[in-house]
Amino acid sequence: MAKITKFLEKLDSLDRRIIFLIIGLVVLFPLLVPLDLPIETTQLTEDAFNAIDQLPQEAKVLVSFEYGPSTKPELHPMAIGMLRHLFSKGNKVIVMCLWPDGLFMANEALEQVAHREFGLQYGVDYVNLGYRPGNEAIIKGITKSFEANFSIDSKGISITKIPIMHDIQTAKDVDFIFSLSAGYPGAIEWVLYAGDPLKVPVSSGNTSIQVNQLLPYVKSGQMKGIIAGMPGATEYETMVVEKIKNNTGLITEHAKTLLPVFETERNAKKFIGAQSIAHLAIVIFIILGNISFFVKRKNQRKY
Amino acid sequence: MFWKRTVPAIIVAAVGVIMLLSWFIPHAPFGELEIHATQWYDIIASFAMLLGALNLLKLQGTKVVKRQKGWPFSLAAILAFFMTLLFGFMIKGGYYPNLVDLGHNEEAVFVKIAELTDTDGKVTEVDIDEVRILYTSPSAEGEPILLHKAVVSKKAANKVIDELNALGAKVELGELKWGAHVQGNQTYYRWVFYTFFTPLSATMFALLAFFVASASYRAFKIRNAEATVLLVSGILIMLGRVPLGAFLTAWTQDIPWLSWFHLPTIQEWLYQYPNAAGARAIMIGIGLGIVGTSLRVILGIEKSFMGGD
Repeated sequence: MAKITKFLEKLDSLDRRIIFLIIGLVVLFPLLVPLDLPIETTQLTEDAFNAIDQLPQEAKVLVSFEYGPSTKPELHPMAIGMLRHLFSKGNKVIVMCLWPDGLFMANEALEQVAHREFGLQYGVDYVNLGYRPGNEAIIKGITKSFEANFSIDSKGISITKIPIMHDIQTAKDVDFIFSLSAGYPGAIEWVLYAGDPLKVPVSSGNTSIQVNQLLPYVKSGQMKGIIAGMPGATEYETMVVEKIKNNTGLITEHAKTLLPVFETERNAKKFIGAQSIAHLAIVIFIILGNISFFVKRKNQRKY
Repeated sequence: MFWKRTVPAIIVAAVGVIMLLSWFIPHAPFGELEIHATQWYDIIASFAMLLGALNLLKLQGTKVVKRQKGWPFSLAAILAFFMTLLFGFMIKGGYYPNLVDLGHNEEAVFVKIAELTDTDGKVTEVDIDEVRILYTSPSAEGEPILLHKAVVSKKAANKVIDELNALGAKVELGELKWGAHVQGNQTYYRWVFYTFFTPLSATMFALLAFFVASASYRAFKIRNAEATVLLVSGILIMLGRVPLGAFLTAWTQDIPWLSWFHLPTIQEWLYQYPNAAGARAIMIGIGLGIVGTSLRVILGIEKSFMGGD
């Protein structure tokens, strides 16, 4: 007993390099040996999915990329899942970026989904307007005029020559706004400066840590659900696959042929096992830390 | 004093009142003024970038010149700044061979293109088939051949063009325009982004997991009632958010009176009610604070943004 008490006391001053090593191993293991954990969908993700799913085929969706390489593992899988969902319904997509590195993320996602998977035509089925500095001023600007803020797209083509933009003069002309955001400017700014004033529905994909700030907007109906972090991305991926598998709602014939690709190429599902185990490891560390804390405090009181 | 304090205060008050009115009166002239104001903001924001760059050079440069603590890192920052600037404004790469016509020796051209575009160094029949499908009917403007190289210089592109032309194909030199090069393929700017910025940025963020684990172990202790509530809800959220939580408590779903103990259910409740209530209270507080501060600025009471006392 005395040995156990001594060990628990010593745990309090555990070298942090051991903690780092354990975390490294528990993250690495599920990446090498994927865990097939059951995916349960939550209300927040279902709301976001349903809002997009209910859009008609001719709907035009504005997707804004506001994340970079640091948050790519969390946000990129949901960008891929959401674009697959939109294109599988035949929706047109207008992409813009409020973060400079968002442009690279947008290009990567469009190259994979729009170009390689769906073989869509640039300028007709989708467009990437690129990045503009100015944060919320850009959002406010496009509520009055797209052309004034994006005279050319990311390829340097005048937006007057881009077919998809012909009947889009302001943000009011789009049917839905989706913000893939890892901070400021992001989802909140879209709600405040575009969604609410123009009555255009807004939804967003965010890092897990942002959900606290965004929930009041969801509860008030100003946002149509949230895809929250990697768990949300995993749920969204699953919902897109299930939808095509069960053949429910609007699905193009081409999207049905892509089901095997959507089932196998799922990054969020691949990474969520690592996140699950890492969370469990942190919880175990907290519990051990507290046991050690109590043992030490008890012994100190004795003397 | 008049030019330094009074004039800026008048400008700020006038702009503030106009922008406020434009929010409530979206018609001319206020609605139009708002468009101009946002464009002015864009222009000023672009200049702010320049100001930021100069400030970075001044701060880091001083550290290097004075050999202050950590000066090698400052030197790295300056070098990285100039390297990115160089590839953004002066050297772009982004040349590509533009396939106009396959010529008579199609199969040999396909094999060559497969070699040039293959990324894993092993050209198989499948790779050649893919090339055959992609380049069977090049459009009138020509089909760009995306080489496996990260950056394509004019010299490298011309070498490929000569090789393909020798096989009977008609290939011309293509070039990404200035401006478009910052987001195009096979440019130096893109190479900098993916080779330096992406791994560095991802590494910095990934380190958080290690520090969170270490900090939780040391600091997340049950010292009082508030800390206990925080710790318990933290654990429930952490486990309930990931599929593992659902997996571990899946058995509770079979027993009606225990179903509430399903971790995702508890986590969802914590998110939707106590958390949303707290977040809303903070937001209302911040909102009122912003209104108060804005009014103080517009009315000229708050002048700290102009500097000085």
